[in-house]
Parts: sequence; structure tokens; C-alpha cells
Amino acid sequence: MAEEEVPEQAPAGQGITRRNVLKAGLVLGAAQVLAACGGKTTATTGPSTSASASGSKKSPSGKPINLGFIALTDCASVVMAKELGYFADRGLNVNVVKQTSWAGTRDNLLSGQIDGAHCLSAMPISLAPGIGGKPDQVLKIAMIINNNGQSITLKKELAAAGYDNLKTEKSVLTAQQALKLAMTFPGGTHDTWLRYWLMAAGVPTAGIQIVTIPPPQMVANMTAHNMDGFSVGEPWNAKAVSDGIGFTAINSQDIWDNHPEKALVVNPAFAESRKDELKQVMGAVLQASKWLDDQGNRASAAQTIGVPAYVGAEPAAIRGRMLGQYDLGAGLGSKTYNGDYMRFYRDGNVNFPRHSYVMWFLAQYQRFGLLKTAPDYKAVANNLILSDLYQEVAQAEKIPVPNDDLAPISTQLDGATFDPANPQAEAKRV
Amino acid sequence: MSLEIRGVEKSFAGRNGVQPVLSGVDLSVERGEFVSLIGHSGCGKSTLLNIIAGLQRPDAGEISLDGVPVTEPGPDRAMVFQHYSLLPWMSIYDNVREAAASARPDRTKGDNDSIVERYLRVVGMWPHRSKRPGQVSGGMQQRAAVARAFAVGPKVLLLDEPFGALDALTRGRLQQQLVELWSGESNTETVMMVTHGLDEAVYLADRVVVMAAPPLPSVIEVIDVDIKRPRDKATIVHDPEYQRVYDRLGHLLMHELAPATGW
Amino acid sequence: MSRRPILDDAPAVVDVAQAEVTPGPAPVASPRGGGRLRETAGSVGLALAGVAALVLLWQIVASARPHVPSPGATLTELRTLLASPLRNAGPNIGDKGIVVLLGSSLIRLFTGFALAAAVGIPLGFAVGAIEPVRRATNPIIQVLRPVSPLAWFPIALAALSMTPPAAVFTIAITALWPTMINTAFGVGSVPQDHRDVAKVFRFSRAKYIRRVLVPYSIGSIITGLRLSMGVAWMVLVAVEMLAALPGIGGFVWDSYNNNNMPAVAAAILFIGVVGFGLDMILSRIARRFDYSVAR
Repeated sequence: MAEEEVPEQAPAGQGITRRNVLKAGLVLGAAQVLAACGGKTTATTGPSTSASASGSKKSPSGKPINLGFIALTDCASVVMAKELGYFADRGLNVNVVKQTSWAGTRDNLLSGQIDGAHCLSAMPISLAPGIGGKPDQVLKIAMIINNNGQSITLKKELAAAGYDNLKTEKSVLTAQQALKLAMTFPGGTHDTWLRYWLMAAGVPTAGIQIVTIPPPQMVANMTAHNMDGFSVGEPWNAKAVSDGIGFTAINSQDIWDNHPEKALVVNPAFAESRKDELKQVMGAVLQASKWLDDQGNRASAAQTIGVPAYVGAEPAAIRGRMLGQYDLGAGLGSKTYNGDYMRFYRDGNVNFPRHSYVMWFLAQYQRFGLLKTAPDYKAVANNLILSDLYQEVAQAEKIPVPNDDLAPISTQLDGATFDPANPQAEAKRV
Repeated sequence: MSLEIRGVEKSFAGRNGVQPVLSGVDLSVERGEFVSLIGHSGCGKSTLLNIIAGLQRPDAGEISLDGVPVTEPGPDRAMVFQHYSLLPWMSIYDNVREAAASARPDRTKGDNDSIVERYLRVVGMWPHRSKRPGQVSGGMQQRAAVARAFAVGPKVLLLDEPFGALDALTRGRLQQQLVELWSGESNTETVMMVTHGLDEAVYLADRVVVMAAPPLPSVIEVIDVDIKRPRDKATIVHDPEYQRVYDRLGHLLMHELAPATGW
Repeated sequence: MSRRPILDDAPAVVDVAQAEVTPGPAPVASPRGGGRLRETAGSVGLALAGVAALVLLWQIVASARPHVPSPGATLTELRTLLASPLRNAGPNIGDKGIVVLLGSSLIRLFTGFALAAAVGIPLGFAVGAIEPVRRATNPIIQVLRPVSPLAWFPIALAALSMTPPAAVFTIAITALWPTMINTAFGVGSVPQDHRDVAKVFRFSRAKYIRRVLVPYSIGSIITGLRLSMGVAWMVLVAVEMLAALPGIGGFVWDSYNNNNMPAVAAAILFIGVVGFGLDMILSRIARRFDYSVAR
């Protein structure tokens, strides 16, 4: 219906570069997966290595702090905190270390090789005792990093499924034989959005192959016809569209508006023994989050994080959706978001780590059949979230803390409401 | 038939440059003769044999058999190698039959097969014909190799230290068998055999050719062995002619030629 | 999560103790019946002792580092896997039994292996037998040979556009080199003795190839195939992990993501046992063509 908004075409020279980037991505991806399993990472330090400690709060311990990130647009607040010098200003010696897979991130956090990470907010939940980890395998959520900005992309041959249309999606998907969909980590946010969406559309997951593929390899794998669709964060969905191989079937903000996506997940020992430094880290990331929510800064952010050392995608691919302008691909037109594109701050509404979030994910695990028995919702949530820490930081940084820690959650995709006081209702909902 | 060897020279390119091995060999072998070649290592006796067999070409000089120049292997010459050289993956029978068949394309299959059987029986290997070389002893392998050479029906039989690796008892028996085959019903009338054993050289040969390495002349001396056949290995040691030749060989090899080899 | 969770990577546990001890051809005079039995029992006993020592060491490490899956947990996982090995309830790796997964892997392996043999043996013949061919191809071979097969995978993907054929290609290119190089070696190293026999007895070219060259080279060819098989199996597991293909490698990747380290350890055992079995088969074949042994 709407005129297809042609995404900004890169000049011919860069078009060739895009293909090279795909190939480079393939090679890189291959090498990275290998490295990923051993937990090895390619360390990067951005161009701005400011040594000056014009810091105000605390004298630096000098000991480095390693923060992991994965090549996704929403690593921006952590990366920009480094690039803008916010860590250094506070006397922190922070390295942002690129991770190659979520499993690798998990293991590096557990082993302490990294102290904290830009991480799937659901990962600590999937590891929680009684679910996916052992008692000594706990990771803590310090704060939420971003809302929105994830999507489910399907290969262009399935364009008849349309955008945000549960009926057509159901008919197209159930008609497929041997459907293969990818997500980034079992029990993670992308896995959850995928399963939630399938369930809402009434597509049974029994005959669907759902595989785990690290985010930077998503597009390459779809190009190689290795899967029919994937659920991942930006910029990979935008890239699939601009490469002409896929279209966007649903954006995460249209599943659950302003949902928690990535979190700053930390190693518990680090959180305890270096608490003051962690508070400064959070402060710096919050600063960067504020900076990012100013639309005027997003173009330059896209430029900065686009380099191979960080996300490794063209700034143009990152920028569009970061600004809320979505080309859906496959002739489906475009969609513009006002305010509920990827957000990092929203006056503190993004960052507050709500207990209801943890409980919502747990209920979904039960709903999807990933958890056979009901866990102790409150205990898990209390165990994972560093609530007191966040309160202290919010106070120190003068950030408003909302009053809705256990407020019900509405998901507009299927019009459901989750009441944290009664999680079993959601767990049993079909 | 005569085998004429005229002015044969041969050198090999080695790590230390070009090494001459044969410097002007002149030799005539008459029909019906059994000639032994003996000498220290490096005197080129095996090389000479290879050239006669057609495995190698001389750098200079010529070899002719009954007036026909020899440059390639042919059905008129066959060889028994030092290391048996039976093909280990074929049965004894196939080894002999394949070799004879390809050396004598003029034969019919039936003829070839019966000739092969005959020689295998003579050397006593017929009962073992289905075995592989690895399944029989060294002596038996060599018997098969002898049968193989004879089965070709060559005019000249060449043997390169054929019995060196065998024990004295087996060696003795094979020497006898060789003589029987040569003097019995076979096409083969002339034999040239390289050997390291003085006793073997004298016992078997009509003439013993003593060779040496350059810069000495390749053929040092040719000694006639004037002992009547059939010769009895047990008693021949007492024959004065045997002792004369044996002593002469010993003197040549152990004294005169020894210093050149560093001994 | 439905998967049983535990810890980090286990140390590589492979069926090490059964190192193939081949004392050479069977002795001509075999010991009396009782003596032979005692000998065998002795070997088995030693092997078991070796395995027991390894398991003990493993247990010590697992006790010291709780993230390492213990032998006990691995055994439990093994039992679970073996309880329904032929299950094929759905498309996901978690829906398939271990034997089904191994079957998929083996099919992939044999396809790639067959391709490598079909190309490598004739090519090896050409390289070994024809000097100009050897000279022309040698620099290329020397440069391509050390390339890690996994680096071929993205290129294969770009060229073939589909993951399963790219995986098979990667296995094939891995298995190619040992086969080709060993074939060339065999073909080019026919002993002078055999060549002299063929020459003296005037074997035709066809006869030489059929009766000397090929039988002589078979030993080397099979050695090459054995090496190829070993390395292809290793690469297969890695490629499956890379591409999340359903198979034993995919199982390892899946278990890793699900934080099920005992499953990874159990998978390692399976991988080792299968690899050992494959090598044993080829080794049997090799022995059949070893003419130095009395049979």
C-alpha cells in the first residue's frame, strides 16, 4: 500500500563492499563460533583511551574492569560510555570486550573472565537455580540496558505472512514443511519473543526446528538457506531487508511495548567485592543511555558502533531503525515509530530492573513447556535482581525510580495481561 | 651363439660427482659356457649384468648376442635377482606365469602354462604354487625365481648373487638344481652369474672373471676352470684344479686387489 | 529449562586406553592354549587398569573444579541418551536419539569421504606417476594443504549457497589431502626391484599398472584413506557445530548452549568410540592388503 521506502542506497563502490562484508562476516563468523566455544574473545579498546582521571567520585583502583558485549545495536550504551569517556571520567579502567556468542558470554561471566556484560536480560533467569544452572552458577541483573529494537525476520519467500498479522502468519507458517527458525540462545529474550509470537499465532512448535545461532551469523546463515527465519536484535534484521533476503514479520515492541531487552548482567563476586566500581560503571552507562535517547546523537552513535571492532555493520543499516524508521522489506512498506523504537533511558523507565520482568519470563518458560514444574517465582526474582544496588545508584545519579516493580504487564500482540501476583495463570495460558 | 661385450663403459652420477663403475669391459662368452663374475664391491659386476639384461644402457661400448646388438630386455635373456623380486601380492604360480607370458608373447597360453608347470615341478615348487611369496621361505622364493627365469626359455641366464642370503645347506641344494636345469633339457645354454663366494664361483663356472673397480681395469683376469662335469660338490674340494683356481682367486682378491678397497 | 544443567567444558575424555598395540605378525609357533588365554587376559587387564586410572584422574579434576562434569554425571547422561537412542520425535536436535544423530553425521562423513577418495586417488596416481603433473601441482598442493578445513567452510557456503553441501564439501577437502598425497607417494615409490622385474620380463604398460603399480600402491592408498577418515571425522564434528547441523556435532553445540556439560562429555565419548571404530575397520582392510604377513 504505502510506497516502498527505498532504503538509502549506498553508492556502487560500497555496494560491492557490502558483499565483501557478507563474505567477511561468513569468515569472521566461522572463526568466531570456533573461538566462541572456548570462550576466547577478541578484545577491543576504542580509539578514546583517556588516561586522565579527572574523576570525581572515587580514586581508581587501577584494576581493569572487563565488560563484554555482542555485535548488536543495543550494545550502544556500554560502547558509547567507553567511547565518550564516561568510564574514564569516573576513574574507571574499563575494557569493552567483544563476545562471539551468548553461550560464550555466559561462560565468561561465570568464570569471571569478564566482570559484567551487555547481555540478554533473560539469561540469568535461564541459569537460575532449578532452571538451567547449578547453585554456584548465578549471574545477577544490575539494571536493564534497553527496551525494544528486536525483530523476527522471515525469508522473503514467506512474504505472504505479512507484518503483525497473526492470521496470515499462521496460515503461511503452518503450510511450511520442515520449518527451521533460529534464535540466539535457548531461554534468552529472542527465543522468548519467537515462541511467544508463534504461540500467539497458534503455530504449534512441535514440528518446527528451532536452532541456536550467534547474532552476527544470522544473516549469513539465512543467505545460505540454512533457515527460514530468525529472531534477533538490530541491525541484523535491517540487514536482511537491505540484502533483499528477508522481511520483518514482527517487531518486538509490537509484541510487548517497551519490553526489557538487554541488561547489564554481572558476576556476583564482582558485584560484591567491587561494589563501588560497579556503581560507577552503572552511572556511566546511565549517562550514555541518556545521551543515546537524544535522537540527535543517534547518527553519530551509529557511526561509532558500526566499525568492525564493535558491531561490524554499515552505519546506514544501524541508523535507520535506531531512529524508528523501519523498512519492512519484501514490498511490505515501511513503519515509523515515535518513541517506542529502541530506547535506552526513558527517564529511568528503561533501566529499573523490575521483579515482574523475571516472573514474566519464568511464566513463559512454563507456558512454552521449557520448565516442567513451577519455580519459586518470588525467590528467583529476589535472588537475581540487585535491587538495593540499583536504588543506590539511581539516587546518586539523580535518576527517577518508578513505582511499578510488581505492576501487571500487558502484551499487545495477543492482548494478554500478566499479573505477577498470580504467575500460574499466565503459565497455564494457552 | 656368442655374447660379445666390447669396450663397455658406465658411470653413475652420485653425490660426490660422477663415479666411473665400468671402464672398458671386453669379454666374450661362448655358447654353453657358465661364467662367474667375482670382485669387490664397486667393481661393476652387477652393473654389467644389468646392462646385458637390458635394464641399463652403457655410456660407451656395445653388447651383442649372436651379432645382434643388445639394448633392451628381450626373450633371449632372463634374470634371477639378488632379492628374489617375486611380486608379493601374486601367488608363486602367477608370478612365474605372468613373467613368462609377457616375456614370450609368441607362445600360446596353453604352451606357456605347461612350460611354467614343468619348471615349477622341477624346482619342487609346484605343490606350493598357490602360496604367496610371503608364505614361503627365502630358499623357496629363490627356487621360484629360478623357475621364472628358466620358464622364459632364454638363451642367456643372468644371476645376480642369487644365493647370497641363504644358509649354506639351501645354497648347496640350489646350486645343484641350477646346474641340473642348465645342463638338462632347457633352452638355456649360457649362464652368467655374479657371486661373492669363491667356492661357488669355482664349483659352478667354466670360467671365472675377476673384476675390479676403476682406476684399475674392470676385468683383471679370466681364469679357466678345467674340471670335468658333472661335478660333485662333496669331492670337488679335493680336486687340485679346484684348489689351484681357488687359491689364485684368493690371492687376487685378498692380496692384490684388497689394498685398493681400503682393506 | 528442560535440559539438565550443569557446568563448563569437560576435559576431552576419549577412549585412550585402548591404544592399538600391534606386536607385528602372528608368531609362527603360538603358545599353548592356556598361555595364549593368559596373554589376552593380561592385555585386557592392563587396558582396564589404564581406563580406571584415567577415570580416577577425571574424578579428581571434577571434584576440584565443580564446573567440570563428573564421571558420575556423565554416566547418568549416557544412560539417558542410550535409553532412547533411536528416537526421532521432531526436527530439533533435542527430539532425536543419539543413534539417529550419529547416523546423520556418518552419512555426511561417508559422502564427503567418498568424494575425496574419488578425486584424490586418481589425482594421486597422476601426480605420482607423471612427473610434469607432479611439478605442476606440487606448489598448489603445498599451499592448500595446511589450510584449516574450517576456513574452507565459509567459502564453500558462498559458492554452494546451501549449508549441507557446504559441510560435505568441507569434509571432502579435508579428506582429500592425505589420500592424494599418500597415493602419490605409493605410486611414486615403487621399489627398483619390482620395476626391474617388470622391465626384464617385459611387462606391457597395462600389465605394469595392473600387476605392479596398483597392488604396490594399495598399501599407501589405504594408509592415506585411514588418515583421511580420522581427520574427516574430526572436522565433521566441528563443521556441524559451526552450522548447527543435526548430528553429533550439532548435539555438542546444542548441549553447550543449554549449559548441559555432562551431555557434552557423553558426546565426546561417543565421538571417540565411533572414530576408533572407523579406524579399526580401515585398519582391518589395510591388513588384508599387507603381503608381508603370512595369512
